[in-house]
Amino acid sequence: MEKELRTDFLGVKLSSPLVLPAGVLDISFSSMKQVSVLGAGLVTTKSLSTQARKGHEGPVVTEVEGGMLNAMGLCNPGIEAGIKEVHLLKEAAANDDELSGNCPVNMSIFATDKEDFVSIAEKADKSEADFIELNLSCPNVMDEFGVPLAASEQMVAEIISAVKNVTQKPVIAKLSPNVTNFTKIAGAATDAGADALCMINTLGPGIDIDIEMAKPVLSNITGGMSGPCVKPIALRLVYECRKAGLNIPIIGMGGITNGRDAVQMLMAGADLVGVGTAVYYRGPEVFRLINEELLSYLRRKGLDSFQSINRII
Amino acid sequence: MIKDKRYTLPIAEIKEETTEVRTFCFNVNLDVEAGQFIMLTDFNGGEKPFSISNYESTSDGKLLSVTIKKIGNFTSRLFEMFKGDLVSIRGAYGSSFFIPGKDNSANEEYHCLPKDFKPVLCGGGFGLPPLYLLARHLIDAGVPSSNIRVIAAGRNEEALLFEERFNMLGVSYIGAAENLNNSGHNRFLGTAAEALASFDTDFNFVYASGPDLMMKSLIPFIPNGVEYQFLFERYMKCAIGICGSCATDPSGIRICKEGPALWRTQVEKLQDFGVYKRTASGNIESFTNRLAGKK
Repeated sequence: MEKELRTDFLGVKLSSPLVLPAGVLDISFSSMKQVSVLGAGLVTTKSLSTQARKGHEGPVVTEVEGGMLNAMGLCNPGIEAGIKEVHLLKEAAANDDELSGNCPVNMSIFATDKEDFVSIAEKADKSEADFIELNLSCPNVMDEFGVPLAASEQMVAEIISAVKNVTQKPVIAKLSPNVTNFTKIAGAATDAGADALCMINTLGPGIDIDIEMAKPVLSNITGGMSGPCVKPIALRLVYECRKAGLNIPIIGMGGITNGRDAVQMLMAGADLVGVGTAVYYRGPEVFRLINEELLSYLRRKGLDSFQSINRII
Repeated sequence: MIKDKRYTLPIAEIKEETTEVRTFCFNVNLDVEAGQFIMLTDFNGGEKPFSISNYESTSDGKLLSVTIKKIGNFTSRLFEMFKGDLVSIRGAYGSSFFIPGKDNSANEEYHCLPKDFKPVLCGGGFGLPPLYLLARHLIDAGVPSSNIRVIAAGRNEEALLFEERFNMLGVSYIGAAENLNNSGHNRFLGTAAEALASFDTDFNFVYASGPDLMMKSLIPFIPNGVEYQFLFERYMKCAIGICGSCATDPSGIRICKEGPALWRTQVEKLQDFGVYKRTASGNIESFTNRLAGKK
């Protein structure tokens, strides 16, 4: 990858600031490898739990104006199978001419309480993943698990420090935008020892209704909102974290679809930029395309690294 | 603004094919190619992919058909529905079958004049219906119907679908099963692969649709240099290429986007073909375990 896009994140060299977030093309090693080859600097696994989960019945996605609602229901093959996929991914990356072994992986995990988070994190710690991301914020399983853990400063802090105690790997906290005290929670996560923050998880949740049958479209009724329409909110939350004085590395995401969006997210204060729903609009090639668009912006401005625009507003 | 439009509409017609198989028809105007599928839901929990078995013009406009086998809770609910009941569909999705003379972006190197095209269409059991739309499109493109041979493979006579419909097109239809009461006209006592072998390589293209193991069993009987396309089935959730549920190994080919119709060069690279599938959770389930579980 071009030198202007290279970076060092929590001690790991990345070829690009673009990140595949949890939930998109990340069930199998094959999908994650493909996205790496196409230009993501970091790929995140599906959020992994103690046991395999089938997720919600369909429909699990519905396109709405300006974006998409989804309620997959945290389907995943379970932590043990997830660890195997990461092993296969690292092995495949080592044998790939384009990647030549360079395929940083962020292992997303989720649980319903602190004890469960710790026990999964202990397993994730022994995996070949480079980072562990704590999904504290899925909005789509509230019937099952209640309000996301990320709504409580205290819970967020307790889980992060408990997980930090059992792993040497950098720990990333994935935060929910669906709270009234976002920067305080981001601050609590930082103080508790998180190595980075990932924001935002999907917004809302929202509802889509089929008027012919008078039924909610999603079987879960509600679904998290993603896509272009959430970008202004994602930008604002990242920006507010920086204004509040948080100096922690941030993976910014929410509606990033093209190079201009990525530039905006970097300017707002993100150090890396997640690209998820845009895979729907532009295909998996979106990673290559946004890298090119970002590069063309940097060259037009005569800048030798994307870090020159990072956190500048 | 919304590119993935949903159509909630009444069932225009239900045709009983066998006790377990019915064709559901809808008056809807979609861009449809042979091999593609739709997602169908009744908004009562569950949305499943179904291959399109026909798409035709009628006096009421376009009529789209999907042929559905009763296998679980979701399809059992559909079998309780009547003409006029509402369901919701989206699509058509995925890659399509090669048609001579049409744009062929997935494999630009392959060409064949319609008059020289001599395909075998091999459908295993419930995999057969999408090959009917294919046969119609081949004939529309100028392939002589006498060049087209259909192998309908199944467990027994009852599993051999669509015979009358294929006969109406003037193509040759051979029902292959290891368990047949009469082995008379248009019947072959044996497997799909044995029926294909009996053609003695007198074909220059093979289309197949059905279970992985059936399609895989054909490969030894397809000579080098003869192209083929297989229609794949994998667990699907979003059907729009983002969730990764239907991605194959090792290159991440998504059955909902790059598939379901894959070319020989793609099939030859698959490591899961006939070996394993991923379940709803993403876990790997081998075919040997699936078969063992059924016994």
